[in-house]
Amino acid sequence: MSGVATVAVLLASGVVSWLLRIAAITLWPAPRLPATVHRVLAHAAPAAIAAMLGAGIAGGAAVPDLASRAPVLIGALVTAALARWRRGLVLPVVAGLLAAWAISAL
Amino acid sequence: MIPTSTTDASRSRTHRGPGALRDVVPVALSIAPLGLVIGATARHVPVPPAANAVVAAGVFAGAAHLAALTALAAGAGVLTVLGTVALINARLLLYSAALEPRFRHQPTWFRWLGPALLIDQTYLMVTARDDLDDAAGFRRYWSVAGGALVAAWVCAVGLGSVLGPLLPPGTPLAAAAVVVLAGMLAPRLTTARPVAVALTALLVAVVAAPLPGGLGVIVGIGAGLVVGVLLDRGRR
Repeated sequence: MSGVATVAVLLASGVVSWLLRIAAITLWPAPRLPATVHRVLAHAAPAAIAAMLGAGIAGGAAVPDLASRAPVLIGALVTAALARWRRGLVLPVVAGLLAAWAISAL
Repeated sequence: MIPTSTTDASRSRTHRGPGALRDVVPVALSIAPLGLVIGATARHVPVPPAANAVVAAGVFAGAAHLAALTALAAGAGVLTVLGTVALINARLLLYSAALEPRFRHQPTWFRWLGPALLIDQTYLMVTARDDLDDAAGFRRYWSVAGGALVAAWVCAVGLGSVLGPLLPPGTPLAAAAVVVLAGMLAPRLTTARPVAVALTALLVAVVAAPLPGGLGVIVGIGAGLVVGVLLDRGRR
């Protein structure tokens, strides 16, 4: 994908985000969404973030070749554990990056 | 922060702009690290720093922006990127539905442009206050707080774009995006159901990672949603 196309896709991401923001306020004012939509949407964010996380951990590698991704996996696990324990991203992310770096250096 | 009397409420209305700025400072500090990572990650796509700063203001949602960059770096197609962004930001639909009463009596221009500042943090900031009932007061607080957060966010992303290439070789920057996603996911896993949804999506995405065009992400998201819906049905 060319640089211009990449930027265009990212800007389109902004448009998609804006449409979601104005959907229930300006486009179809609806104080209450249908319960079914509410339930599915509630699952969307954890599913999407987890899938991105899985793709990032795998890095395009097939399952038998995942050993090389151990530093990233360890870093993610350390970050997740700390983020569960303590709110805020700074400390968990720094600790996770240090863990990934340490495993890589071994 | 919450007025305790009529006098306090009047004072709060008078000083709502500075009050919003005071509320924003700790929030801006909390989102800055993610902005730095996003700025640094953009060089892997690559996106020019200026363009990425514009995108940062336009998307104004860290997880979605990071996911879009990561997906593009992995060679994902347009629909995969936009679909992922839409799913990650689907919660904004819930927030906008919840805030609709606050926007109902606002001018038309604000009903179109104001929601552009809607993120987790601005939603939480306004729902935590009970002195934003009048339309003008809400508009001022929302504009000042949201505008300041956008400015801080764009600065953080811009700084990350500049500092990223200066980091020495061996810096585990490639892991940064993954690590940040893990940090954003973990606090959401408070009950068994989101854990099952996330675990399914994650494992399926790992197995499906070699699929072309970032298809593995979509397959993973779909699997997670199916598990969530099935669990909902089983509960009823």
